[in-house]
Amino acid sequence: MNSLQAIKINAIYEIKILIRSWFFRLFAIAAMLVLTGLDILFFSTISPVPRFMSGMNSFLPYMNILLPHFSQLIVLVFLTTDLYKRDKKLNTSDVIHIRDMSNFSFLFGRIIGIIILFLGLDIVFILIAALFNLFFSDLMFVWQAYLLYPFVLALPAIVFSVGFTLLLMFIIRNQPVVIVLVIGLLAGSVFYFSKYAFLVFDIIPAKLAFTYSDFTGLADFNLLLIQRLIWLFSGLFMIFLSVLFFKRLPQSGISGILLKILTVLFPVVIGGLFYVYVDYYQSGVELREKARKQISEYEQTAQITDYDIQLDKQGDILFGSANLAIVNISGKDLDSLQFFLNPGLQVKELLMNNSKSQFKQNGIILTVMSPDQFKAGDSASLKIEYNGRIDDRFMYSNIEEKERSQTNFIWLYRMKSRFAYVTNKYMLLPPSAYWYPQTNSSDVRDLSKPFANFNLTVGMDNNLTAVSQGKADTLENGTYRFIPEYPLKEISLVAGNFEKQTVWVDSLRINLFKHPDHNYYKPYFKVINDTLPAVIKDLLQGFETKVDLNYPFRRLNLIEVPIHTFAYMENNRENSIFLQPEQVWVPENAANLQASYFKFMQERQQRFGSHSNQTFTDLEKEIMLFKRFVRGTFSGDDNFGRDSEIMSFNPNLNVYPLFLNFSFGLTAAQTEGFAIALEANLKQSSSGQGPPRHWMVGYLTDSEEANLALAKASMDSILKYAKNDLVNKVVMEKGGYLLKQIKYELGDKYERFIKNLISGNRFKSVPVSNVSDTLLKDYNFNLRKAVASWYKDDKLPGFIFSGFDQYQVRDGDRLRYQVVFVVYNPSETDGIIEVEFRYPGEGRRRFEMEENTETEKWLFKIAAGEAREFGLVLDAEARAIRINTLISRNLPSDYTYMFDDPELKENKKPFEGSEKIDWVDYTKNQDILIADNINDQFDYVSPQYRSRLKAWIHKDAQEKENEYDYFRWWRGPAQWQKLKFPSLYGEFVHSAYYARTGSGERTATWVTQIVDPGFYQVFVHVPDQSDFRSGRRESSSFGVQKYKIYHSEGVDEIEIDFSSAPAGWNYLETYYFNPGEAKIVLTDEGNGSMVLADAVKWELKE
Amino acid sequence: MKISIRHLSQIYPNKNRALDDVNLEISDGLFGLLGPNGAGKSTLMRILVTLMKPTSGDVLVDGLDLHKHRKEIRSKLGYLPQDFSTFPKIKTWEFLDYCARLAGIKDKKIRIARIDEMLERVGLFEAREKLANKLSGGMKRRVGIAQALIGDPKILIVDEPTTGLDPEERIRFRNLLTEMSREERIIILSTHIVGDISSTCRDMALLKQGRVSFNGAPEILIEKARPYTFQIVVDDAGLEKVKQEHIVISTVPVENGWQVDIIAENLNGYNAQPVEPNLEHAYVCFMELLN
Ligand SMILES: Nc1ncnc2c1ncn2[C@@H]1O[C@H](COP(=O)(O)OP(=O)(O)OP(=O)(O)O)[C@@H](O)[C@H]1O
Ligand SMILES: [Mg+2]
Repeated sequence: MNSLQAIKINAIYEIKILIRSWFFRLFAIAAMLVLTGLDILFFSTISPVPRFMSGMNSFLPYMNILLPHFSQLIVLVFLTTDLYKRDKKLNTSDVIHIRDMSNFSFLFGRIIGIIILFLGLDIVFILIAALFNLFFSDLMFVWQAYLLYPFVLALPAIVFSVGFTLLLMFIIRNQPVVIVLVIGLLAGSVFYFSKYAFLVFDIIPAKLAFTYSDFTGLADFNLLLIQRLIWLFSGLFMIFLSVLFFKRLPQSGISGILLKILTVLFPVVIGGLFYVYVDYYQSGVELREKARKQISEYEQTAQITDYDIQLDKQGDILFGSANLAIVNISGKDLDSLQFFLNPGLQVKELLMNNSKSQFKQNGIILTVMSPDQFKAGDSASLKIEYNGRIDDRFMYSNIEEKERSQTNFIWLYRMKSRFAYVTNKYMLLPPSAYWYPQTNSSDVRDLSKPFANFNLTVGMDNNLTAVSQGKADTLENGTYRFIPEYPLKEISLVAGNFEKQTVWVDSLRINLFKHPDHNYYKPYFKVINDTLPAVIKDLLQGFETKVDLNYPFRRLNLIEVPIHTFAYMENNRENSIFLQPEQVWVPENAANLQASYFKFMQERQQRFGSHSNQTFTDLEKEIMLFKRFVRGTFSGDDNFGRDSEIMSFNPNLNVYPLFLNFSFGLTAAQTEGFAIALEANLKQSSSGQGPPRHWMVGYLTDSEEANLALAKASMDSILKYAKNDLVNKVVMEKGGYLLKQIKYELGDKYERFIKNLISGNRFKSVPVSNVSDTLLKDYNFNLRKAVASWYKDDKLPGFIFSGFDQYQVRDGDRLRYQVVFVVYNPSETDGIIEVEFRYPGEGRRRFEMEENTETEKWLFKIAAGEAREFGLVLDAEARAIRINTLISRNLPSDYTYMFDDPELKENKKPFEGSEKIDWVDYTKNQDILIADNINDQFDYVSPQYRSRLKAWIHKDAQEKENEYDYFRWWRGPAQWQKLKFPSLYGEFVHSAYYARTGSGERTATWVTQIVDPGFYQVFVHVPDQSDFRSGRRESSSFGVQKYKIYHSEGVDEIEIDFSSAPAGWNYLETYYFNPGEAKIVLTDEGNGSMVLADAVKWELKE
Repeated sequence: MKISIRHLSQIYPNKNRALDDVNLEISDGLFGLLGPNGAGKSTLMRILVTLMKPTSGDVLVDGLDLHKHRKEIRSKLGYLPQDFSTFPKIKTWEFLDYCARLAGIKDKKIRIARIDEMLERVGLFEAREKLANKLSGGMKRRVGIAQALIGDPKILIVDEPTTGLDPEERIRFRNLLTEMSREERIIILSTHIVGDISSTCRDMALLKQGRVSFNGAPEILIEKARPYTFQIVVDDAGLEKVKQEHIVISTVPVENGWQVDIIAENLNGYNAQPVEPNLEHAYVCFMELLN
């Protein structure tokens, strides 16, 4: 009998035995049931699950293999240890061993049996997915994915687990210990080892990016395959070793020798693969490090004014030829010039002014030695021939390596970012891939990038459709020419097997380039077709009004790109790669766009309809759905609440850069603050609804975070030293603030000024000095000065509000509503606040049928040290006034005051404007002593009874202890935790501490220094309970609080019920106090679920 | 077929000398291996079935070295170990099917016919669908016998096959062996049940503490014991005395006391009658008196 046969026979019998084990059966049946259930839940046509969890076609097979995978491995480990035990225990094996087969055939056969059984189980899982895919869902059947997941994802982990278990079993011979060790290693590979060496140790694999794109497959198939082979081979290696160990007789001839060869060969092969894998990513790290250095050291000396690019794609290789017209803008004569060019592209020949030039490529820099001196101001022509494979590893080198080395996930699905591709069937080339020579770093797309004339000819293989900027002509089969009608800063090139759909909106052509099989949206839009141009026009006009600018391009191309392009959060926020001149890149199948969750929105629409007794026609419904989708996706509006963790996968496709960055330029670096401001302001106004809504109350908003940072450091130093994430927030807030300063000064003329500036200078770069001259001359505003202090200021204004009132006044023969309020700015810096009103009936979520109506906003300035009373006359009664303190020390930065019912005041005249008034600061009164939860007035004690493990787990939480956190109304924190709410006591910072109720271990203490002895009334500050309310919750979290008051006679304990006490200062008792320290202590005892430590007051009784 | 065992010794790692210079020639037919517990029977058999490599000495099968030609010899082997049990969760017929496949019966039809035949022969046809490890001890033994026979081996080695079998089954098994030994085949049977050997074996060996103390036909063994086998009749007191002085094989109550079979070098002072010795007498004689 030959050994193959023996292996087969043994495998068959091992399978027969294992399949009858109840453990296996139970698992298999449970897994199949759960998977079938989840498949229905996630992927059926009636699925209620959001699209980001189910939107990709490959998600179905991916989930079916990955979800049960870990538990499957645990079962596998158990059964493998059992195999060993069984073999040891039973003399049956004697009977079998005397058969004509080698030790190897016997053991290996049985091991193969286990492996086949578990692989078979995976095949069953994948078959469930396949059946489901074909018969019960709208998903496209991606057969590659159906092979990929069982064989590449699962099989190596199965083989490895078996091998490792067996080997340990032979060494340790103790089943429980081995099981713990193996499962420990597997779990460790997920939670610990996967941190190192670019996920090479992710055996299971829980973190490798296995999301399969319909366009380009896996993000990095070759590398991933290598990683899997490492573990497959390691598994086999250990299996062979075990067989060697398990020696009943000397290994029989051939297989013995073979085994010995393998034992040597395997480590060599595994080591080699390991090296290749790690080296690829490590050299990526080095490439980026170099790129970062090269970008920071790069100095622009030449500017490219004209591009004539010829590009041919053959498989994954590009053949390029670029004819450039360049100008020396350095002001010096140059011997050499530097360009950015993709490091995977090799320059073959280079002509400068038609004569051959020397050149050198290093990282992303191409250095050209000018044959003759390139004189300052001169122009020259340059012809560069290059070819090679695009390397995207250097791209976005500003993303932190730590974040980069990890993969992102949506639910179970892991994805790794790719920024550029050239594959047989697809090509994606953003300008930042430097697929053509450039003289500006594309990592940052600020307004300063210069314009150039482009002319692109591309040759495509495999019948791919190419999309780039400009008017497209098909020259011959597979050759396209693109000529933009206007200068552009940069161009991008995408090619794929696209289906093109076009809608004309007046003279604007809107093209959708989509995968021919991606049609999931179709059932939701059956009748809208003919109305589409009108609807889009409407939407476009809405956006144009919002940003007060017109769409500058002749066309808009929406292009489906692989999901991997969307994998980085960082990328989602800034420098968005998805936005290109004339183009918006849409994630394939709209998989991670929240607003593409049509089903959910349809249901809401239905509910809304039945609520408001409105009936809509099918067409109206589709129009609403479409508008929601477009607004939610492209204008930064969203109805989901952006801050819930899981929703943040929604990429930011806000199209404002098309209206500004790509079609307008500002030059000169000194006043680039203005450019930042302009952009930030446009971004803010384009994203609609103001600050995002939070389901968590008391959360620190982006602007508050920015304010906290700006209170500590100037803009200048934040730009230099802060982390990207914070910089983005600060730039947004402070940028918007500069424009608000201009807006305040310019008043009504502001809108016209901005519009003239941008619309009057489309596709041009305007020197900022021109802007500041205009501002000074025509509007008497000194931009230079404003920008200088914008950078340098590290003192923020702060505001104290009072005197809010609304009453009716007679204005001629009309009854109008007078609103008055007082603002005091005790700081040393002038400040601006923004005021808006809420009107009755507003506030409940409207389902968008109508446009977002912009509410009117007023800006008010309060000079340093000044108090002003402001008056506004409204035509309608306001329910509340909302004040945004913008850049200031105020926390929270949003202050809302609810008005009482207005009464008619006949004797008052309408008052519009402001009046300076005297401010009486009663807190400075000698007889009133207030202790707030700050500085030397306050201290607190939290017991430390956390276990070590807990402390370790909560390390991050502990580090944040002193920061503000959102209000955890469901359970107070075990340690005193800071909160901020408008009605809490404070000068600018309205904060308090809170903790869960307990038995008295947690205390908070307020102290003050009594100078004049006497009877003092003691007060406690109680906040407005409505501040703490979240969602539909009515009851208060706070209850009776017990204050120990230390006075001349001793200590008294006074109780006060926070749930019923009115907001503001609440009187407790009067005591006699001697000079010296007085103190009040709050303990955590009480009948509410938490206690609050805000402020106390001692007021001298005369 | 012919097996020659030459100067075979086995010393276990714990210095246990299980076999000590064993020399045997075994040819076709039923060969009995008799010896008390611990004599080395199982050890010898495990060496013969190539599960173990002896410390020294060699075994030739038809002139071929057992170890060097393991592969060929294994394909001719059938083996029933002393303690045999099957895999859990596997049916009787499936287990036999597995063994049949391993024994090289590839054709499914032949295999199934063969399994059915074996099941019939060991009286397990009714239990074919039952899980093999849930059978009774005796039935398991029979499964063991069936698996040893299934490949129609040219060399059949069975280690105490009859322990645990009921008398009826034991007889059936003996007949089975006898029947099989008619064909050209070596059957080696180890036992300490003398009856197993007497009726069937043409040739046998007696092992004692790892050494062969007798090798030959059972009749010769019996003949050798004849001078030492006596029968006497004693009363109660006499029985006690005899038991103390001599090796008593059997005692049968008779009218005037006890009729006792004794093994002794000579039996002076008693009214001893020579008696026709059987294998049991011979075995005890060899164990206790000779060598
Ligand atoms: N694996 C082993 N390691 C050490 N000594 C062993 C081993 N197997 C058997 N022995 C010893 O070798 C000697 C012979 O044992 P063996 O099993 O061959 O006897 P046997 O004749 O089959 O006895 P039984 O009639 O009880 O089956 C005994 O003393 C036994 O203790
Ligand atoms: Mg034995």
